[in-house]
Amino acid sequence: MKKKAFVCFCMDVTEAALREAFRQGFREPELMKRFTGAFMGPCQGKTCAANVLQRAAEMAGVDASSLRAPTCRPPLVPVPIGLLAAGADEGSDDAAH
Amino acid sequence: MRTFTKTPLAFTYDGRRVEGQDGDTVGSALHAAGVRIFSRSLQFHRPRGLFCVNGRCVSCAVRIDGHPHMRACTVRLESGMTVESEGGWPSMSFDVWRALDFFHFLFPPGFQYRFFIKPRWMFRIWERMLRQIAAHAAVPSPAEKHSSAPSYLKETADVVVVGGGAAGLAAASAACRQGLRVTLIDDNTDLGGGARRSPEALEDAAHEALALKTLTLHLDTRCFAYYGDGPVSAFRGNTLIEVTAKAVVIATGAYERPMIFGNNDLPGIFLSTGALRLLHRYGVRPGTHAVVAATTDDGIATAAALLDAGVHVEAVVDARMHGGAPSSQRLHERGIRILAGYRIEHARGLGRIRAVTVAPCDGHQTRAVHTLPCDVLVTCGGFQPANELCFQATSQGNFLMEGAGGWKSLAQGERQLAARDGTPLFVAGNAARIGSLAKARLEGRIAGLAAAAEIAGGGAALADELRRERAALAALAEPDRWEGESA
Repeated sequence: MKKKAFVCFCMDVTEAALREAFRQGFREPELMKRFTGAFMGPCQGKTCAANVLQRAAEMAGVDASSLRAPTCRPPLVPVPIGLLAAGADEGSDDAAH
Repeated sequence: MRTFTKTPLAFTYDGRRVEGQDGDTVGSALHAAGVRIFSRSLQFHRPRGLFCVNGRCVSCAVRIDGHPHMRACTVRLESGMTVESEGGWPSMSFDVWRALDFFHFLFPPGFQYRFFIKPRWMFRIWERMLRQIAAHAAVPSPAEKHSSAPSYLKETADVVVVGGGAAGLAAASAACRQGLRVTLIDDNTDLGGGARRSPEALEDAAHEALALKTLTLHLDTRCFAYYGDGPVSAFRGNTLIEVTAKAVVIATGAYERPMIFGNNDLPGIFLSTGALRLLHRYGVRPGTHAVVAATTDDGIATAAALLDAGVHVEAVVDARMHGGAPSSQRLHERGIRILAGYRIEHARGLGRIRAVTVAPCDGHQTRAVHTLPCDVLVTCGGFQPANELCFQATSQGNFLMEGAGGWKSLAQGERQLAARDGTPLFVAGNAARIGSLAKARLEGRIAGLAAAAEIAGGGAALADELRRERAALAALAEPDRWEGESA
């Protein structure tokens, strides 16, 4: 069996999977993210972002800096969900979000 | 296994009594006790162990006192804790689903969008099955109440600094000295961040910061969001902390990049920062026989640190043709084999690493392929800036890769942005651009001073100091360094 080389450890995305995604036309990092699941695990790209972008750039034959990294949404780290409601009693408008 | 010992603390892991020591995290205690497989990976159920030791990855997720999916390396060990492994069937250590790894060709990338979508009724069955296989943690039932109601802390400050490394400390002390009230947030239990790798450079800054009267320190606190039009949100344990400030300094440092090679997820493979954390903070040797893979001089330093701690270093595999000379010269003198111009081809082992196969980098096919036995592989693959907060706060721009995008102009200019509501936002240190400690310090100081100038206006003296520091930063003239693995 060919040995798997992981780019994204959270979602088990291998280098081969990125190539396959590219082959099928998911060439932008944002599309690659949705197709393979890289960036979407609990680490939110902390482990994989630079490597995915670098691979994507190599495959497309462009400079890595011309690619836009996928949007990074909160929370940045896993947060116990009950905490998010902690400020609700204070009547701050953030709690309503 | 340990380089130093402290008061022992006993806890249970999967029903077995395990002993850790005071100051440990659950992760370091388990590793010291010989546990290598911590969890199973999401799709292929491959074994995973400690990897980043820094709360970034989830390779070490376990169930602690009934709380599912806790990163073992972030939870401080307490006596009497109940730690259980998650996932796998019948158990995490013996997992029948591991077979999925060998039938991976049945699940090509994107399969979840195609298979069994039609007919619709079939999808429901499929979905339930998928969830069962992928769900590693059982959600606690509402009847099991494990924690008390979360508490809430609302604070205001003049400047909030996220990150207590070299840049963050410099920014905080500069702003404090200008008479501002500063809140410093850091996710470690001590100050210093990545600068702890060279402790002598750090002590003064940390002591200096601790002596500052107008500094509020939140250690062991993780900042998880800054939306750019509200407070900076963070949490510590069961407390939500929201800080509203007139200026924000982002000094979150960098994340280490994993190297990519076959079986690069085997337990026993560490990021260099992780291996050093294990060693220096908890006194746990990551293994007995190490191979170090380097692309920069950080790798050489890591190998030296392992050697000093009594780990046998089998070889240093350096992707650079010069093999890290002259800094690797001393390693060579100590009898360490240095393979210059080599890279890791793949790792071998089932359940834990047993050996690595190294091959010459492209263009040197005449040289031999080696297999080196080891029980730990430490990789130094460079860093990526930890700048998600900038992204969130400004909701624009490419802040990850330097170059033609927005980031380069920022890196060369003021390193100042504006959050969505116009709050001045400063980026300093490795979060702005990977560079030296001196660069991080200068940038931090500039961020602190500039924040003061922005908030209080400041006089000619402040403007003067700011000009001096900026000139010093320009004089450093560090080349734009995109730290990438060359393998």
